[in-house]
Amino acid sequence: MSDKFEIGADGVDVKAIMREIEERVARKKAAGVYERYDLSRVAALELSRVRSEADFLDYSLKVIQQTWDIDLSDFPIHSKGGVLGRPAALLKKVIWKLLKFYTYRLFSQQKEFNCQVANAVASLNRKLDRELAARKGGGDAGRPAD
Amino acid sequence: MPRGRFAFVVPRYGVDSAGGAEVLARGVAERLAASGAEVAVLTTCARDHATWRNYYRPGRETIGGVDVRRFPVDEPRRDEEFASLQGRISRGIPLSREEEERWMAGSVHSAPLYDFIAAARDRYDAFLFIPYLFGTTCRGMRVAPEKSLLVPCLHDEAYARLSLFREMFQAARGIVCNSPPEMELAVRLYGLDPARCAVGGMGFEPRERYRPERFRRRYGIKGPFLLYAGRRETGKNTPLLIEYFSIFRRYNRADLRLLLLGTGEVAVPADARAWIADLGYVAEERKHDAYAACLALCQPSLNESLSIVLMEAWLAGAPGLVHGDCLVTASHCLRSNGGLLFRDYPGFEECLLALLGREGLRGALAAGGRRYVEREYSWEAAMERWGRALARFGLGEP
Repeated sequence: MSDKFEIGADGVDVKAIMREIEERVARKKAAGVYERYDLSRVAALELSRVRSEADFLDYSLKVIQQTWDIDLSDFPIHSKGGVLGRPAALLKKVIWKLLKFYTYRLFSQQKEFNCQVANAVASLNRKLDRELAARKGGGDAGRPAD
Repeated sequence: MPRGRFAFVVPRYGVDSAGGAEVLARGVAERLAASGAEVAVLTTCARDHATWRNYYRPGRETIGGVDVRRFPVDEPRRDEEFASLQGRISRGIPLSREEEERWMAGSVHSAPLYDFIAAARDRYDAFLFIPYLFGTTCRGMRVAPEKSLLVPCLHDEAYARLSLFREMFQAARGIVCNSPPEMELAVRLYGLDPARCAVGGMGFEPRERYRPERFRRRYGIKGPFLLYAGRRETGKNTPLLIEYFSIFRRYNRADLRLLLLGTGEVAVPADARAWIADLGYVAEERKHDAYAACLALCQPSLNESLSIVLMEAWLAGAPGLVHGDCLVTASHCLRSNGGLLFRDYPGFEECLLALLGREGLRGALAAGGRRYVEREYSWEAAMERWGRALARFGLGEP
């Protein structure tokens, strides 16, 4: 037993499989397969892509755009089995209906507020981008000729 | 095995502490004690890592043959500034040293625990602090750095780049990591001499019996399913897994479900609820049965220093499917030939299609993973490494 762990056990070769998988992905990308996929929400969730403060602002803005819309729709409540599974599921369904009845108005107002805030933040960001671009352009224009 | 006197310092400890660092501390402490070393655990009265409220009574008790001393948690200092500093750290904005200290003041602390370390510094040969990110480690290590071994459970994250942690790693008598990639990360981040670092880790034992069919019957699951087990939170990349899986089901005809086990809130998109089931917290036995029943265990987290669930799944006969940007889990899979890796959605989809479509692949990967755990992460192997690590730092016999 040493501190150097063994590499490459018997059996399958994961590196070789990963090379095959990467080749398949490359072929499918070239064929435009993923273009029909809706991957719009993925970028904001890929935390590994966030490396700097600027990345983080971009990430936060995307998340705000995707999460302001509270999901108020019903969802399936299933029994988890066992003797108490069905009664518990039934109780949960009743509680959810009651909760929804009493909170729908509040959540609708919250949703409206979220929508306005999300729009305001996006609008502020665009305004900031425009002003920064204008300032940069003005600075360059104002430079004395060499 | 060393016959010295060791005190483990962990922010929480108990039979019901489920965090990876606590499980590691308990496993190693109990085995060191069983081998004849004098072992104590110095911890707080907290049970819940979200609030750090005092839950247990202060005082002494014996757990698994180990003398456990609990000290009350100081009044938490979490104010608006703490939240603001936390936000700045997670966005990668540098803090001044004073700001770092003020942020650290909001972590879990226990002045009576620090007083005890100061008073008992001659009673123990070494204090082993686990894990790196908490107040009890950061402040506790300052009391007796020459006797402090750090078991960091380090992740490649924004917090790890604070200067106070750099100083903490550099001041420790030695660093004991859970895996070679974690050690490489520590050496790289803090400019450490590799001779001051070692790999210890923890061990895993297969259960006597796995009952995949019982799990399927109980939850009414017929077809293949991908499994996630652990805390469900953004830091563990659970939302990304849910999104990837939702896309997979939208554009593929494969009959596959995603089952989520563990604690924490989880938001499943309305149109994916037919394919994704949240079973919440389940008993240990059922979790292991779920490993045995699943197509693969998916570990999408980037913040792992070992990944207990991956090891457990391999022992139960499931292959791994891990994020390729996580140094530790990717390294486990490549070294063991026990799992596939994805870095983006297309890679995730192709891995699932390979696992579903290639006959024998699931079993071959799982077998590779199992051999790896038996060879490198049995308790025997882990404690041998611990013995050598402690000897390297001048503690006991190798």
